[in-house]
Amino acid sequence: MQIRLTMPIVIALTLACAARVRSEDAAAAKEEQENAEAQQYVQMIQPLMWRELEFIRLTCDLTPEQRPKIKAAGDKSVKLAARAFIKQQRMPQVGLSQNPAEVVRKDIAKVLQETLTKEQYAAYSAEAAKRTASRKKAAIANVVAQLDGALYLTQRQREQISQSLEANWQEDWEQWLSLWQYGGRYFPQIPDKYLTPHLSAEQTQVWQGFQKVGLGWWGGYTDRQPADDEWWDGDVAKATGKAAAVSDKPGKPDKE
Amino acid sequence: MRATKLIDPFLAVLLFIAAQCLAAEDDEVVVGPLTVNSQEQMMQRFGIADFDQMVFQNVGNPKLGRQRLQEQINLQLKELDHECHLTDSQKKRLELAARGDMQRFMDEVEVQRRKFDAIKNDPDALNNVWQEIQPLQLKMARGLTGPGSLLLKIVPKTLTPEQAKSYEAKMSERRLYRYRANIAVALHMLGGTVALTQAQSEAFTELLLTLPAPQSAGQYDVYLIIYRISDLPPEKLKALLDDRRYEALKRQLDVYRASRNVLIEQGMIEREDLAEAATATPAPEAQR
Repeated sequence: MQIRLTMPIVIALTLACAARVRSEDAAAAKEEQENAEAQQYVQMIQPLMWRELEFIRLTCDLTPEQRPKIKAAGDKSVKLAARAFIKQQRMPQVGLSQNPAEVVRKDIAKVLQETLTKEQYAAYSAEAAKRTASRKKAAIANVVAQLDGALYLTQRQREQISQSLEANWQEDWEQWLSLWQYGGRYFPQIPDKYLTPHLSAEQTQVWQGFQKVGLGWWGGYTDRQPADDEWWDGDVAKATGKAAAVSDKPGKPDKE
Repeated sequence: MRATKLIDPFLAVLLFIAAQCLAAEDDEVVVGPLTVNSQEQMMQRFGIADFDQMVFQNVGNPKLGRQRLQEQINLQLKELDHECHLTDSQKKRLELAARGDMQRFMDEVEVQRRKFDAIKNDPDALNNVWQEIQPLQLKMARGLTGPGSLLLKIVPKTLTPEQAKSYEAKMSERRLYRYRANIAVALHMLGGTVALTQAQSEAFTELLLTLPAPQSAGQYDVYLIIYRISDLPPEKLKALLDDRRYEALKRQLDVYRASRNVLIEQGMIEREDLAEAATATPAPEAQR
């Protein structure tokens, strides 16, 4: 009788226990898999972080104390961006993925605001604004040059299209910077409303026949900046040795 | 409480194992390839319709493909007429050359189609044909009447010197626009190795603009720019960069310098191009 009463409880308990163990195992396996997948993206996004760190190093005269905090923000941002990228890949219906370079730039910029002096931050902001404008201009010119080669634009049309794209700029158009790699085989998905008003009917017809694709974020911009972890760690002794050998400014070593 | 005490530990272990087994059965993992072999996919997908899809891309068939190419040729002829005010006989001559380019392309398509038909069930052979189809794809995307075309060969023989001058001015303007765009992209790309201030970017741009815009265009455009930077005299680069960044750039440029032969093969540079780099002068305001 006792066995009859306790058996269902035992079964329920053991099943629940088994389910929990399995669920924990599955969660751990999932976590491990996600980390492994994220690691691939970490390696791809890291050069973007180094690009940004180098830019900051160039524009702000950082003290050794400031550097580790900025580097840590970069490292954290890379990991988060990698995770976000995986999530987006699993739910492509959500829409376009975020530009990892922009994510890293924004994350680090937040920490810069807290870490830099007013003067340093002003210097960084001024140069960063110029860089943003220049990047935008380069992306647009790259597309317009390709359109020009295929649609035989007039100078006026080049100007009008450039102005239209600039006025309606969208962050993810930064992808256009990698267009050159396709050698004219593909065109980016430019919304017609920003382009066709500036084309003739014949040009519009040709434009509509082109193969248009999303270009992705990774093309050709993954060169590693010079490895200089000690400098970013604020390790004065090690960084001094390097700085003496190769300085940031002609005839002047890095700030220690 | 009492019942708990009466549980046979052995029985509990058995039940636990049974539960594990049952759960494992329910969650059976199907082991197999996660993705179908791409060659198999190609094999399943390829047929004449797919050959057309590959070559003519989103227009999808030879008739529409031809129509799209003709429309693009018409744009080019219209531009020529607009710039040069062509006579009827000049127009006819240029149209004839363009028809020749079209015919040549369609003939190439038919040759590749026959090759494709013959081997479409053989994945290894398919790879080779795929490589031969790519240039057709590229022509479809970029048009048939670029460098090396009959049309561009006949243009200088058809135009009067005044017309040729006017047309060359137009082409030169286009090349320069493209060259500037490529310089901007190349400098952005170099930013992955060496951070540049706006003043430094502008100084590099000025240096590069002292060199002629490349005659031809293609997927090596940006490599050409970086190659040109690699060919600048070191003192000009040193004047623009601090020591650390110069060293970093130098390492990167050494890699690009090795692309010289590829660029020559692609018609992007001629041997005499290189001497011109040495004469370029940096803008003084960027020397910081």
